Amino acid sequence: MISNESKVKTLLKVDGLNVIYGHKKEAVHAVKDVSFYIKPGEIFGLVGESGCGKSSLGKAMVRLVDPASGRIGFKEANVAQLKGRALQEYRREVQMVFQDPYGSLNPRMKVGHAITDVLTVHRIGKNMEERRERVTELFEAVGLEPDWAWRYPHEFSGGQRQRICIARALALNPDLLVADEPVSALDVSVQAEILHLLKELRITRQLAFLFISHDLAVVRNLCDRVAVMYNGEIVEMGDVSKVIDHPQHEYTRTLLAAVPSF
Amino acid sequence: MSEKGKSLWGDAWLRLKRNRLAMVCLGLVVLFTALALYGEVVYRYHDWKDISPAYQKTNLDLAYQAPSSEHWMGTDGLGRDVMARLIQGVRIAYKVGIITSLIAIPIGVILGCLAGFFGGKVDDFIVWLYSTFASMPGLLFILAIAMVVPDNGLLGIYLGIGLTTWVGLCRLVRGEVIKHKEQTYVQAAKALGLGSGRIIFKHILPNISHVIIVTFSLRFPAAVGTEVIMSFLGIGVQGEPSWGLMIDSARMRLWQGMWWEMTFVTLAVFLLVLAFNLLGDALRDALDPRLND
Amino acid sequence: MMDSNPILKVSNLNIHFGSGDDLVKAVDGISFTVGRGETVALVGESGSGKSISSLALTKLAPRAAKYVAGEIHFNGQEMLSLSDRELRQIRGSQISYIFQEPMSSLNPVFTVGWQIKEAIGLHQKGVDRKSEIIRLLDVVHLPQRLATAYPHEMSGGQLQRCMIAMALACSPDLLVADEPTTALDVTVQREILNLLAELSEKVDLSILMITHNFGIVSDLADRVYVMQKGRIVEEGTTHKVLYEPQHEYTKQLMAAVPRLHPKPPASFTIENAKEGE
Repeated sequence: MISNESKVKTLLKVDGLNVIYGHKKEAVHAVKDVSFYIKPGEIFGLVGESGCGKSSLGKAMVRLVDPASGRIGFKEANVAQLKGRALQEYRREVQMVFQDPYGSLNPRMKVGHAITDVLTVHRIGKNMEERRERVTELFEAVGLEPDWAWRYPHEFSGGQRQRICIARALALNPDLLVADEPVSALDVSVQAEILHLLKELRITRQLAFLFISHDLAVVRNLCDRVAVMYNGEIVEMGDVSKVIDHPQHEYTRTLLAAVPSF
Repeated sequence: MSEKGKSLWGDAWLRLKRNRLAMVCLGLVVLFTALALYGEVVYRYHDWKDISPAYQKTNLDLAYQAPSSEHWMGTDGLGRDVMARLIQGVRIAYKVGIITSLIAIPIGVILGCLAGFFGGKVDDFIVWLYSTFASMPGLLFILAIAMVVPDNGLLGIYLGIGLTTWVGLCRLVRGEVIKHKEQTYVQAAKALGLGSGRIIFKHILPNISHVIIVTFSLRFPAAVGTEVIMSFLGIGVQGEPSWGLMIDSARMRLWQGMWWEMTFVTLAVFLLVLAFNLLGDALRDALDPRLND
Repeated sequence: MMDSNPILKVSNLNIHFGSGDDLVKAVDGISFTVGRGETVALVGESGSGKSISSLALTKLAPRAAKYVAGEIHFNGQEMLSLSDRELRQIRGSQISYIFQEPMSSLNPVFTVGWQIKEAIGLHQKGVDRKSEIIRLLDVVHLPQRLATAYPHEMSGGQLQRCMIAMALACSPDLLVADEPTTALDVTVQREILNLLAELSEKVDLSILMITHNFGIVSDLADRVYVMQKGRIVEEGTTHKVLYEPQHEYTKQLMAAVPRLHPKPPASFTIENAKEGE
């Protein structure tokens, strides 16, 4: 399935990855022998329906889920089995944004503090004053008023919260952002704004994305390459225009035919 | 609108200040606390001087006097001033209520958090532990501890009550933590490389603080009740005026029209419990930023 | 296209929440009609008032809602003037609802067969309930054996079919579908949409579709009303609204919708194409 990628400089290279939940009899094989790569500054889409394993795969990338076997190569190192301090270091470089903008912020913590907290843990900035300045920069980078940093999450709309989550993810200056359905919970016009922001960040920060979505149209408009997942496996992968305009696999065709569009 | 850089607790305090009823309750709690401290000082002073304090002096000529300008709350069956004894009683109630809470609440919260957050073997062990504690009759357990702990005083009682009453809170906290653990903000915190301790105590704990606050405010009446039973069984407060003992002796004479001792003591218990509960509720609301503005 | 004798005619409906400074005009003078056998879509983003409007048809909007002005004519009755009892008679039997979350719309402790039976029993006396359950399951293309299944044993698509079966239990004249496929996967969504289209054809059901998805609108609706902030900003046949939008807001929305097969001439795709390379 994967061809001549060996010559390309890759940021992330996943080989034969398996994610299994539970033990023995009740084991659920969520991700089956998945391989793909992401180049620096690339937006790589991962599409599939619920239960296909795309979220598990995304979580395995940031090691919220431990892979059963396989290799996650990030800048030459294998991060699949990292632990402790080394894992902490890795987490600076790969960040995640989640689907639910309402649940992903601690309701009892001012959004600015959610960011300074991360900076403190990773010892970025000498003192609180510097960290506050960093928050201001990050808020500006995602198109929010810096003054809003000292408010609680409930005072923001869904789109604004998603911007805050992105700002928090950017706090550590990652090279790869795993975005798990980041716009599915948003209205179309807000969705368009967030997608625009992601494209902008990719240019200004050379940020690469693993963009997980069920929405083929969004993927079509955002991603460079895409992988289609079905039942834990990648069934088709390639340039987004090729996969969507000329699908090869039966499942991809079914999926595309089902999308209501005009 | 929230000010820059203030913490959740700082904001909660600002909001609490705007709540009139909460401030009245806080005043009451401060008053009771001051009385308890005063009672402790008086007790220590007389203990050190080795003299019998005024509230212990019996004078049968003055027995059962109704409230008057001299004895604002009347006198009891041995002619002792009810008000003086009531104030001393605050001290015992506080000690039982607060010291046992200081033992039980940290145990319950910490074990509950660990069990809920880590799950697996840790959870199995903690659930086993609290099930074991819960299966032992509390009173016997308290008695056993009181026997083992040297010193005739209340230490055994504090430990006994403290070590048996963390179970309920532990269960509640464990459940809440399990609920919050699944929420995206905790997942996000993990992905950001935050440590488990920080996630539990800085991120999850403020979200479940209401459980702890409500538990704390409900512990007071329970503690006073336990103290009454303990004193009745002869292993608790001996000789010192406690609300439990006062209620116990007052109820005998109530039917003879000696209403004042019972009335004032129950009024004091009522006010203390009410103040703690209302303050607890107000604090819980103040700590939820969504309920405000 | 417009029906001269529509089954539902809403005129100048106003629904407010709160009062004074906190007054929110959730629905601000909207008028729309649904003809017999017609599928009409109310589209808009969150907070546009589309859901409240649909709930208001049988006065199901939250208690705090105030019906300030307007008329809702359904089958010759003025709904806002009816008593609670009369409204209950109409709900479920003449106007049925299906909602976004089929999982939480069904009671987890009863079998779906039992729940369909209950829906039949509420409004119809003296029918053979067993055969009626089987007939309804058949209408929504579910196997009979699922009558004894519990909600958690079924997939989201199957649950939504059950909800539709329950909604059809009393052969309603109007089905209000509030984002019925939003929680479902695209392939399942496709099946549900096909089912709704089939029903509207076969049983001559009128459907009022509440959605934010223009793809669904284009697939299913005959006519469409675009809502924004409690008002209807544009209305017309689906084709006309989607391909020749007149109002600025509709134009913006159409531009924001990501296309599966973007057409090069449109301005937003040029930008995408550049960045996508």
